[in-house]
Amino acid sequence: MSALSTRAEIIKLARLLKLKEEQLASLEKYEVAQLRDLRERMSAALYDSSRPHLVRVAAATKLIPVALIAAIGEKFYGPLLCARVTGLMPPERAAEVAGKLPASFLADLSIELDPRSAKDVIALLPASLVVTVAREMLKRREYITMARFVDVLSDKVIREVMAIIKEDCALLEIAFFVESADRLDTLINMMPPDRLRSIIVTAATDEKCLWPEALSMMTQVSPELRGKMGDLTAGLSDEQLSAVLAAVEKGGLWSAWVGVLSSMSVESQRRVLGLADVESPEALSALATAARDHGLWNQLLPLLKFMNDAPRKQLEDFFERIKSTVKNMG
Amino acid sequence: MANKQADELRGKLKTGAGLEFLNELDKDSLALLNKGLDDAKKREHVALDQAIEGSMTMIPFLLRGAFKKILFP
Repeated sequence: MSALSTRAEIIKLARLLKLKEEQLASLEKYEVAQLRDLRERMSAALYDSSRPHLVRVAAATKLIPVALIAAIGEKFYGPLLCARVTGLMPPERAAEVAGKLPASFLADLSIELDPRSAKDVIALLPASLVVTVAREMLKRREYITMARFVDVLSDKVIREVMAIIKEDCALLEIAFFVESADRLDTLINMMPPDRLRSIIVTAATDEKCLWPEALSMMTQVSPELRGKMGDLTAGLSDEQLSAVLAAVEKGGLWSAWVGVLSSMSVESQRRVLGLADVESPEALSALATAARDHGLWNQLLPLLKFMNDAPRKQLEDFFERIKSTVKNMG
Repeated sequence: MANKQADELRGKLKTGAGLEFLNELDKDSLALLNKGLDDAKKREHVALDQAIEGSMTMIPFLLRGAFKKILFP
């Protein structure tokens, strides 16, 4: 759905292979899921090729004190190899080592780490340490990396990290890159209503035009949360809602928009569908085409009653034509 | 040619099925991915060897024998 999510996968793959993003431009046309599959398999292949040596290194760390492991790790092994060894060490010991390393090194290590391989270690880290490293990553705008940790951090720690993220754009991008739909739900549910509203306003008005990302998130969360976010969207000013609809039209996101519309409250649906922007012939045609192509007529039909007469008639005519075409075909 | 390179990459990734989209990739992109993976493996092995060698200088003398026994069984 979004060029940003494809780019995120390409960035992660480029980092893994130490290539430049531009070198992987030919992958841009593929689905995010395909690119993620490729990256995860490549990551596993790399890990497997070093694993026997890494297991021995992890075993050898038992012989020396934690402070010395940290010093050797930082001086000789570097972030990538330390990331690989982390998940092979006893979690308590690895967490102790982390406590001896500087935040900038831990941030570098986090970029290389597959959080799922070290979730037991991460669970043992004190919240204060995670927040310190998160601060370092925020400085570097490492939103993709931060999002990968949402899957494995506890709700309590996520809450503490969220409190230091002051920029709505940053929080929106991190949320957008979260891979698990369940965790995304949890993350958004943790946001106070004012913060969520502020993020939606930012998505609608920011010059980076993050509405496609916001909409992509809305399609992944539970219908209840989608409705809540949809209602907040409907509460935007006319000008802001027009910007949202312009982004929907520009990005060809009508099918996602219908999904959000159908989850909104009746009042919100009435407000959004009554807007002049949804009544232009171009918008109606795009809306109808998206509904046809994605089998969303059943979701759209009950909403037509909130539209003004002329646009409603136009959509109903379109729907009748499709029905008769289907009937004639068979 | 491109399909051969796609098969080669799938072989390295130990994936019999899956990643069908690799068949559509042009040969330059496939060559880049194959080489990227090989180079990354080599880099990791070299870095690991150097790290093990370098770290020995910081291991207390009395522990070096035991350390080597674990690292080079």
